[in-house]
Amino acid sequence: MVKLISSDGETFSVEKDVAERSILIKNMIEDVGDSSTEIPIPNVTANVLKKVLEWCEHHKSDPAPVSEDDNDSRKKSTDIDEWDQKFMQVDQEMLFEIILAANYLDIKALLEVGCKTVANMIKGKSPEEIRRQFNIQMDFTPEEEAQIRRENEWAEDR
Amino acid sequence: MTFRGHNKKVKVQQKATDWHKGMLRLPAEVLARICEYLRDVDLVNLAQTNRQLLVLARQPSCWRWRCEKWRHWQDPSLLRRSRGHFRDDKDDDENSHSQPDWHQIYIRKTVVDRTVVSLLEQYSGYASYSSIFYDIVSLGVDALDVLDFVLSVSSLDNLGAKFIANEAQGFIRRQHAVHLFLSSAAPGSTLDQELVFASPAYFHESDHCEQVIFMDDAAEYVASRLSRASDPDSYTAAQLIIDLLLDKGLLALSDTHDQDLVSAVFVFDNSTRHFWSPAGLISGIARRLSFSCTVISLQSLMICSSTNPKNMVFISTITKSVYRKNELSPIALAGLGALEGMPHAEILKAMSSALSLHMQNSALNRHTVYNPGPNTLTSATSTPDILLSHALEAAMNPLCLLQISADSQWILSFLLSVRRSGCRQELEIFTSDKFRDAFGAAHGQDLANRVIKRLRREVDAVRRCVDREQVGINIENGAGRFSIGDFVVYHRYSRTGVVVRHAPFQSPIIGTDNFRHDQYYVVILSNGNRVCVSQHNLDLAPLNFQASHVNSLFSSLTAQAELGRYFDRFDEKHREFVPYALS
Repeated sequence: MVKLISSDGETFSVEKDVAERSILIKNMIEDVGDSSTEIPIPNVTANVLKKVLEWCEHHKSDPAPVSEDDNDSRKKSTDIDEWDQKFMQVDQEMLFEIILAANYLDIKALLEVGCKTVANMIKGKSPEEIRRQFNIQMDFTPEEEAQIRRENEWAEDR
Repeated sequence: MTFRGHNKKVKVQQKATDWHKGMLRLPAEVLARICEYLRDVDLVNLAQTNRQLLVLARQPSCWRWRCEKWRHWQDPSLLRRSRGHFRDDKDDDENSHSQPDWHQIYIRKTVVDRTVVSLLEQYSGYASYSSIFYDIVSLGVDALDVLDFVLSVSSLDNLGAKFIANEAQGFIRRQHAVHLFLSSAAPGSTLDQELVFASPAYFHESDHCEQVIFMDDAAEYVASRLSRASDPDSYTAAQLIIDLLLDKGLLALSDTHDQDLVSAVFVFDNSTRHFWSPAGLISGIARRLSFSCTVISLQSLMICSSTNPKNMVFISTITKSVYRKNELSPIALAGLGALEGMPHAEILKAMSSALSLHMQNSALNRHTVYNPGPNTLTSATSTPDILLSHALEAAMNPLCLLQISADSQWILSFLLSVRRSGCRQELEIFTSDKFRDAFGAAHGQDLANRVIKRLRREVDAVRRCVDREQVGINIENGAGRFSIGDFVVYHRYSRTGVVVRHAPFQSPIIGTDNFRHDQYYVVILSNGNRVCVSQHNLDLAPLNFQASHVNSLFSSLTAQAELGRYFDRFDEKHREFVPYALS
């Protein structure tokens, strides 16, 4: 068992192979050489860490991800498996927190699922709808906006 | 022992201030990752929301992997070209060399792909050929990828698109090689050699210079002479080949640069049923001697030694001369410059498209009929060949239309051959006001009026004449055993094929060698070869074909492209090839 401490001080006890879904934690355990040490996770709060560990638990027996370098074969499919879809049904803030945590903890597969989820939320929406969806500040002048729209026309008629 | 991310306080604080920013507080690399999952249109919409996202979505790296779907785009010679191009735009920016603007590249390629596809969809038979063809080739090398894609889809639908894609692809490759060659030969050019030598790669697929018995003999002869030469380089080899062809009368010397028609004598090889231009012959021989050889046009090519590719020479079959690279640039540039300024873009287009069709038709029909003997080689000097060489000249230099018009029969026979080769629309060009105006602007209104009057008369005559012929052919149809679209078996090669047209005599009114002969058919065999066969050698194929059988029978790309010359698509339900609707 590995003990993880969230940024707000809560302690989580998890199996080693669950915790090692995170490359960051895996490296730390290797560095320390003693899995009974408590490991601080300074960037992740308890509620997020709990969620992330839930994901790791479910995916603990997944095959190791193939090497990251084969960019060519990267499939740009946005299909997400059913369990993950359910898992990602959280509010937007939590979604971003999970993505940030996955990025920080270096959990490739979870980061991927998170990115796909965000991508799916963007898909098929107009710029205005995207802004509303993610509460993005519009900071173009009308001229700039018109100019950008013109430059982007090539992609529209499909 | 250090833990990554130990500077806890800083991070946490930063996070607190980020809280209200929503999606924008995700780090750039994560946002970039999200972008990877977006379709083009979504990415573009995202870019329109906010300045920060605009910068992100316009980053070249965001588009780079999207560009990877284009195979030719990864070709180093093309990539360099694009870098050269962008270097012009951002003069001093050192970075733009190492990182091409993938965003712009992506847009350009996407638009080209779409344009080509929609152009190909418009094809509806020969009448639409030339405009579509030239619109496609004007897009240049950027169109190669989408053409490749169109050709890689093996299906018997949209045969016309394949036909035209195949022709356009070959044309663009040749044009690109010429371009590379000339830019390397230009005085003071800084283009690097690698770029030029990448170009022969484009010709491997269109290589048809094989399997000619004559060439084996010729190559042996040249090789034996070469072994005695002190300096067996490409220059010596090229000279020897030219000498040999001159000896055999396959090239004739001419003193003038007047593009004497003898220079375009063609050679027909009975064993392969292939019609060789002098350039084709030379390249065939050179390849047997293990030189690499690139045919640039019907009348010019370049040879380089395969061990030392920089040892390169250029051969013009018009002047029968071999040029080293440094001698070439003034000549080639002057030649191209002369064409460039022509007001006859239209006529040039019409001529060369008529020409390519004409050559393919006449090559097979005439010679298999006239030279059925066992000779491997016959020097072709009959009237139709003279006609053909006129057409060649005309395609290369429209002005010779006028010069040769002193020979009163010539224009008529040329127009006839244009019309017979299936170009209806092209004839209109010669009578159009646009042509007259362009001509007038270059050569004076008087002359233009005279010429156009003459051309109009001839075009009328041609129309009447060809209409008569077609009536004649229809009568013969009754006597023939097959109709267009029949599946037949050709005994000689035991191959199945499709009858694509009757082979009428080529020249019923010009010249004297107008033989009556048995009914011949042009057949496209399942391997893509076109043959012209007497009906005695054909039988109807068994009729219990399944549609899937036809699909696999004609699965070869060449066969599909050839079929597209005549048929629109294969109708699986009625198991027949559907010709283009007459417009």
